Amino acid sequence: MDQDTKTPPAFAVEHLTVRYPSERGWVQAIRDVSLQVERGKLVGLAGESGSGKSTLVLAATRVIRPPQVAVDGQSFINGRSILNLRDAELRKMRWSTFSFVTQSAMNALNPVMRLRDQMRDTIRAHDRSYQPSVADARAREVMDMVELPSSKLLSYPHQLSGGQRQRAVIALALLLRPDLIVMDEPTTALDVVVQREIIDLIRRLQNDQGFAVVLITHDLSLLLEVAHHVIVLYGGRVMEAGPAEQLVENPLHPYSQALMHSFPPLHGAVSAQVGIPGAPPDMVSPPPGCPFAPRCDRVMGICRTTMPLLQTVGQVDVACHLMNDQNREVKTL
Amino acid sequence: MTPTEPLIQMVDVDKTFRQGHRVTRVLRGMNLSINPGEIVALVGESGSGKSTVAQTLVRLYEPDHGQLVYAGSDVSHIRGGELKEFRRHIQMLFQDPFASLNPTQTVRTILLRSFPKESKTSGQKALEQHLRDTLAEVDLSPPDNFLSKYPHELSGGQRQRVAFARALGVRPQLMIADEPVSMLDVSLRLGLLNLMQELNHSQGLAYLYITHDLASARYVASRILVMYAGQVVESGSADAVVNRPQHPYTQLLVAAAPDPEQRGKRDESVTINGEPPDLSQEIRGCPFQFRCPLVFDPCLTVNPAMVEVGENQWARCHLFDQRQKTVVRG
Repeated sequence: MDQDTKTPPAFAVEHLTVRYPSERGWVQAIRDVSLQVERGKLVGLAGESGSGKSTLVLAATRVIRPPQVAVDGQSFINGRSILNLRDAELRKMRWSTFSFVTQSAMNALNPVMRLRDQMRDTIRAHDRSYQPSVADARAREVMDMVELPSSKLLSYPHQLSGGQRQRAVIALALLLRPDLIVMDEPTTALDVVVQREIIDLIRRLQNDQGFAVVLITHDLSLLLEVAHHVIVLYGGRVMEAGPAEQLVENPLHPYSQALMHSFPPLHGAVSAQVGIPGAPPDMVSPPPGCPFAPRCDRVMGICRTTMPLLQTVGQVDVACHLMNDQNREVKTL
Repeated sequence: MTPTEPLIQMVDVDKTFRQGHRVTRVLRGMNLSINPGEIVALVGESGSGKSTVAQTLVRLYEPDHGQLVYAGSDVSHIRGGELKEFRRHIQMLFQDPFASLNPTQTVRTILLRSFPKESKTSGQKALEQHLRDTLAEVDLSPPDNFLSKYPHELSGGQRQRVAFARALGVRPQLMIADEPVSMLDVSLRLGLLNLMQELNHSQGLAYLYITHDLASARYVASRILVMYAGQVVESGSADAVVNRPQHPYTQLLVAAAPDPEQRGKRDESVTINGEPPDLSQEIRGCPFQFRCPLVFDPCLTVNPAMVEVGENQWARCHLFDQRQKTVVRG
């Protein structure tokens, strides 16, 4: 990704480590993860349940609560360090600088409030000079952006279809003109056709308005199709990160390679595929070396003892000991 | 039963649910037929009636009109012992392995409860063997590691295999798998789909695989049925339906499916509009007319019939009414 020294990226995470206590000990949810999202870009977090993809963004935007703690690392939104911010300052940034679109549109909206009132509430909470007429004008604007008639502002959530509710949640996220929108499984509960409508809408809005998006989804084929840049997480660590087309055409990490073969193609020849035998690691006592070592079909001795460092290979960052043998010109981060 | 006779058939089945004054016609002339040892996929949006088909096939519901025929005999309204006997032949695999297993029972108890009476009277040793064999069939090995486990001690993939083993315990002819992998992690899905295929090859087990994922339907099934508003709108070989879809709705589904191969190639000017029809309202004409980009006069008044549109490929669309005899498509 290009980096302009003048304009900070919309979102940057540096060496973040997150853990939380459980009955059996500390869960090592995120271990030394870094990422960067430029304005106008859509960055996808790929990973299975327990890989830490939601925890990563929740911790980096300080939405998690104790006892879950970010024990190390930094997070920046528009260049401002989030983890050290005073609560009052953070409150000002929330929703106006970064907002969220969550998985279940039914639960993300207040069931006993009309859409208009939820929008007024949101604006009032952030704007001292709040005036209902100005707020309503902005509400109509965002409804227009998500292609919902403004008459729906008078609706309660239950009066909307699933697709309309998801559009309304996106409208709410746009309300204060954020620079970053975190979308956590925004289309998971929707049908294929409605999902396509919502994804197309997100991309149009992003083109028009230039906000950055972090997209979290377990739907790998969707992610690979729509994201500019993909970060593959496993066991709380980055396995591979790079442009989506690179991952589609030439995944380097054995885990990414196995993931790419884990879903059947829509077109082309059908051949037997195997998925990935085994199960993800227990994050209370993760393996000492590479977290994928127990399931990796090319595991070596060193993989079980030492976590490989992220190395840059072409446009891609990969954490795998195989890269050491195959690449002479590796640059260690 | 002759080898060519379908294992199970739904013939013009209607199913209506009533809630107060609201009458919802969920199935409207539903037809399907599954041959012994065949894997058929049923694809459609939520609300299209897929799960009602599943529940009618296991006779949790009785058809209002039409017939459910199993191995040549009408089972639409059988009761009592007959119904019990019928259900031995058809088992279900559910979507959520967290909800479909009793959390207070061990795997041993879960499996034992499903086993038929005969196996329980044939002696403890034979029963233990049957338990182990069943677990081995779903690749849970060694079986002794699993028999005393509770569901919460197992991963999602393992739980789904226990649910599978429970269904296999009665030696069914047909398994109805309703979104069996959609709650599993990507890396584990193929494992279960492959297991379904292995049992199909080794035991001739037939499946109705219900899903919204066309790619996995093509991977596992030989035939795909596409449902819309309570009826089948297209059917054909899995490859034909996905690669040469004829009904405008199937074309829409294929176009909307996520596909990394389509990166940057999609024509984003094609927008899709509308939502499935409200099945509690009377629908005149084709139920897809409200969203169809190719709608024309007959669609507004007459619900089209299924016509052959290719080799063993059928579609319910007026576009093919006139042309079906002369035009060979795809």
